[in-house]
Amino acid sequence: MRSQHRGQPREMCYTRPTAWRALLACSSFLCLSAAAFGQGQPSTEVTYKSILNAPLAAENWLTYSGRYAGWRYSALHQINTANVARLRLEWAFQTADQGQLETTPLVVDGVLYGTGQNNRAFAVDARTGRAIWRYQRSLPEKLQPCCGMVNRGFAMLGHSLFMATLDAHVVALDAKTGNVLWDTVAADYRKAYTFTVAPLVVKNKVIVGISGGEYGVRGFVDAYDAESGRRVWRFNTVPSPGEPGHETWTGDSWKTGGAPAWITGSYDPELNLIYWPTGNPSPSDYGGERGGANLYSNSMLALDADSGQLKWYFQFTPHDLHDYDATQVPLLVDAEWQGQQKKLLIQANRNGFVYVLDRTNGRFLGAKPFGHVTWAKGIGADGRPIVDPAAQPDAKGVVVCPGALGLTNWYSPSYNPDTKLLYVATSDECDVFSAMPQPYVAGHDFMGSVYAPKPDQRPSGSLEALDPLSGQTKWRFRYFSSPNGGALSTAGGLVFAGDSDGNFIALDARTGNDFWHIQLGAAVYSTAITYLLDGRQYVVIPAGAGLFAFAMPRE
Amino acid sequence: MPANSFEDSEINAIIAYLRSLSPSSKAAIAGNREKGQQIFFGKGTCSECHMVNGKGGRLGPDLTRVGAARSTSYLIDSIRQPSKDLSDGMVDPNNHYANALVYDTVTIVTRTGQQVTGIARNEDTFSIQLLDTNQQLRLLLKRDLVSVKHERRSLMPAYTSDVLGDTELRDVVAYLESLRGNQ
Repeated sequence: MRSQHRGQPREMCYTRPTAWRALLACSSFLCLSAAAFGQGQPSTEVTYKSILNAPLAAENWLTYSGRYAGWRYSALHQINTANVARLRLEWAFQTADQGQLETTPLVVDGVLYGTGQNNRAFAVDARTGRAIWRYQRSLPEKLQPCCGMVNRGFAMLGHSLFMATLDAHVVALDAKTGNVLWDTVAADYRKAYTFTVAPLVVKNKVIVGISGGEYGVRGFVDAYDAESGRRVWRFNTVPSPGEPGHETWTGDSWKTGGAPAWITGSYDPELNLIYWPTGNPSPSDYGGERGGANLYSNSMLALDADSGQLKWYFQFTPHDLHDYDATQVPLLVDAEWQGQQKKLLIQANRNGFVYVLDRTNGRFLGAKPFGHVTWAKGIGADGRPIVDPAAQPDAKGVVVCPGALGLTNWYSPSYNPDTKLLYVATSDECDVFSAMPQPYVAGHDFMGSVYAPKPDQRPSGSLEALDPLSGQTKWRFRYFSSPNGGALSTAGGLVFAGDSDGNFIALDARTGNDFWHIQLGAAVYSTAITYLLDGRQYVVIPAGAGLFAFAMPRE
Repeated sequence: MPANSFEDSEINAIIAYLRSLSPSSKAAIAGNREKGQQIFFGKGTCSECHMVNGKGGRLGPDLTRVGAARSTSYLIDSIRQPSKDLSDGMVDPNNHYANALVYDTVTIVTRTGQQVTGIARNEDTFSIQLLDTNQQLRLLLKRDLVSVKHERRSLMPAYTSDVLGDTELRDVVAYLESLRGNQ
């Protein structure tokens, strides 16, 4: 692969020339990059510094959310409100496997790296979609991911790609060949520990969180040394006896307490804190034998990046009975809050409320519902929900909103600094929850419940534009079906989103007006990315078992 | 549906539970299926909308295998109170979280004021593929429509005892029960 066509001038040409970007244009990273490209040297190495500077180097997509702040926003604006109607398919890539792609691809200097179903992985020429290598992990026969044999993507550092696998390993692959560099066992898949998460690289560490909240795992967040694969730290999301928070579990319920950590967190380099959200306590919908708040389920954890030490936590849904994982990407935004400049953490939570926290200390600042919510009557001044007792599931079944899949879910939100709006896909599904005691059997479902959509309702959904500080909805674009895909916003004034009926859509970030859409023939279960190559901006979306890349027609 | 790891005893228990949901046994109803067939293709006008073994209309569900799939009481309800439970339409294999389309009543109004009623063969955010009551496909873009209204009721008229007597009902049900798709 050659990249001599790349360079700072072209990159800046397609990055909105605001004052701060101009000031930073000759930051050491960009000048070094330009020098490297100028010499015609292939540059596939990702450094911690390059991830830190990802907002200024929008030609690549270096980490799950595009930047550590979690925004899934790109400064590219070649494709914009004035021309997006002419967007066209540039290439497609198929994994030719069953199930759906949930990956967020990474793009580094002309190569796109993605993960697929059944722990497939691939590198493709980002200009043509042609494969450079393919990887297929040999998996045990009896695996139990709750929701498909899926994976949400790579992280990258140096020339290594990191994937967390369905059989609960963390592996490093060589970026040029797909060869395995190291393979570390994180947990026992026979007890239904699995990974679906895209790792997060911070400094020289690979951060991952476990899945298995439907099977009574004991959750954790791990950090591995990127070079050796050695585990550096583990934070158990369910405290053992003697640890703070253990008192929030009755009896031995902590041993099978769940609190998985299956979506990629965000990172604040100034505070050196990783913000990693956690999922439901187990069993998810029956709480009779796990009395207490069940820390640290359904929480936001602020972990020291070097040690994994817990600096603070905030629990959104104590003693959850409705499967309201907090596994939505946290958005780190610096903004004025009640007259004071604050370092904020914003999360549109599966439980139906959008929260604003002070990310320096976890202090609750505010929360507003962003859809129909019946399980709680509101959020109190202390940040705790005012729970409606009538929403407690029983053997007969009760209708509760949002449903078990949440008002939103794991699919990525986007924060756009130009509009100062949060874009989040939502579902209006309410469910009938029924619950009953269930004995724990290692490796078996442990939900204590069944749930089903309210019989007289056909669930649909929306893409919502929210003012995250007031919780006010600015616009709403209606989907025919409940979504499974998130949002990418760009400096081109656009929001790209995919729906469950196979449409990929470009919307006006300010009004929600749909400028363009295309039917891809399969549901979108992921979120778009964008990159710049040969002076052309591409937007890539997974749909079904394929990736589809779009760009403007060549002049 | 994902594969599961249930033990055999658990699978048997689930089957027993599912069978318990069936409102009646599969014992054949006392009716004359030949007469029922005559009613189905004759005075009952059932075949105007339902197909059996390649003969009949297209608006309602194909009934070629209905006797193997539905209980007697369900068949009776579907004739006397067709809106009580709506049958599923197409399921999208590419969207395993999606809800199946159902045989509900859809009415669209175009920007030119034309109103069309039928059932949705498919629908998404931007388009709808409607089979109208004349059994013609209407392939429509939502940008050309003023409204798309779904009503949770069947397009099929209720065959009350005034329209279809109890004896005739038993005959029709006996005919439907005989449809196993093996003819």
